[in-house]
Amino acid sequence: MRLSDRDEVNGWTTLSPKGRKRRAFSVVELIVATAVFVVGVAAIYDQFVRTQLPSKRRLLQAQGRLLAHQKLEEIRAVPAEDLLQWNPAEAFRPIEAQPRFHYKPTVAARPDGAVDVTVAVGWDPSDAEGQAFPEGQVIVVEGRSLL
Amino acid sequence: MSGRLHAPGLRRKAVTLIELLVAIAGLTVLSLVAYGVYDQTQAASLKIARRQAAIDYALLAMKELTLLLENAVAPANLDRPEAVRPEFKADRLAVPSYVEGASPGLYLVTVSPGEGSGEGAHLLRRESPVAGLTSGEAEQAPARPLGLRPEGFEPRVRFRYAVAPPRLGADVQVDYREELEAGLWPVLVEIVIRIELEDYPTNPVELRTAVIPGRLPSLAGTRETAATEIAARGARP
Repeated sequence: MRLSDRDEVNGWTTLSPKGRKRRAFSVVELIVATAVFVVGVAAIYDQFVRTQLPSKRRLLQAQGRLLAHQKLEEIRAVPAEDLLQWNPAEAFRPIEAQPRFHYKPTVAARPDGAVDVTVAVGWDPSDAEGQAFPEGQVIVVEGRSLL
Repeated sequence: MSGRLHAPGLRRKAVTLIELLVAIAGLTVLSLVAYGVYDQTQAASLKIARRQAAIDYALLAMKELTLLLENAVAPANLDRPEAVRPEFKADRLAVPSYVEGASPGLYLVTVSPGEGSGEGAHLLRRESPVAGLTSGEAEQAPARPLGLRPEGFEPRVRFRYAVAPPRLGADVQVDYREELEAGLWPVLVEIVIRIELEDYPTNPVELRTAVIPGRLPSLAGTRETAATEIAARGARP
């Protein structure tokens, strides 16, 4: 390469064909390139986070299902005459042992004498106490009929 | 071929050493970032696998304990109540229960923590035939791990017992005790299986449920329909 191939542009030496000045990267190009790189890394990180979700969800569903079973068993242990007179709270209530789980029992007497008991259990994604439990997070509903 | 690889009038640009070094540095940085992400993903996969194993272990152990208690028989319902001596402690449980298998029959099944700690620790289950009530030539089986043999974690089980029926208010209130005196039979048994994992120090695997052991006298004559419905409504934790 000969020195004559070099051009002086704003104090910088660039390599360019004679008579044609080589263009440097513009700010817009740099921003676009950085954005593409960031999007790529974000996609990989998103996959990384998503791989952990099934494990977490599976544990929550197992916990919720067992807690619903616990509440059903506790209700089943109540004498039938007490159960028929019971008016459970209409809102979800936190489960004492695991306050991030909430439950709502319903009891309905059927004409044939059976009692339908259902327990819905949900998980509160926020740690905020005193806030209404979002019913959209219900993960398990268990029901049982006692004749 | 003339050997000219460029259009006439345009000189072909070579790559300078600086440009080469910058390109190599850029590639190195990108490779390091990519390898870092790959390494983290591998580490996360291992953590998840360990956690899944812990969840599997806890679920299987819970299923075994639930079945054991559902098939339990209160000594009062046996012809010879003195033949068995149930035990209800916080970390140890012994109940007469029907066991399926090669020699099905009524066994006194004991669940207790294994000896030692660390990776070798596990929950033990021991079956002793109830004399005169077990069919065949059943002998006391050697203690075996409850559920699967855990690898890399130390499961703990805790029992609590209620002797009085729950009270109904706005909530269902149960008075659980850590242990029962000899001669008492619980109305409810609460089971808690907890596995602490080094990878998730603030979020241990903890499963909790309650079981009515055997049949309740108050519910004798009642019949349950098999109408248990389990609906997952797409929780988005």
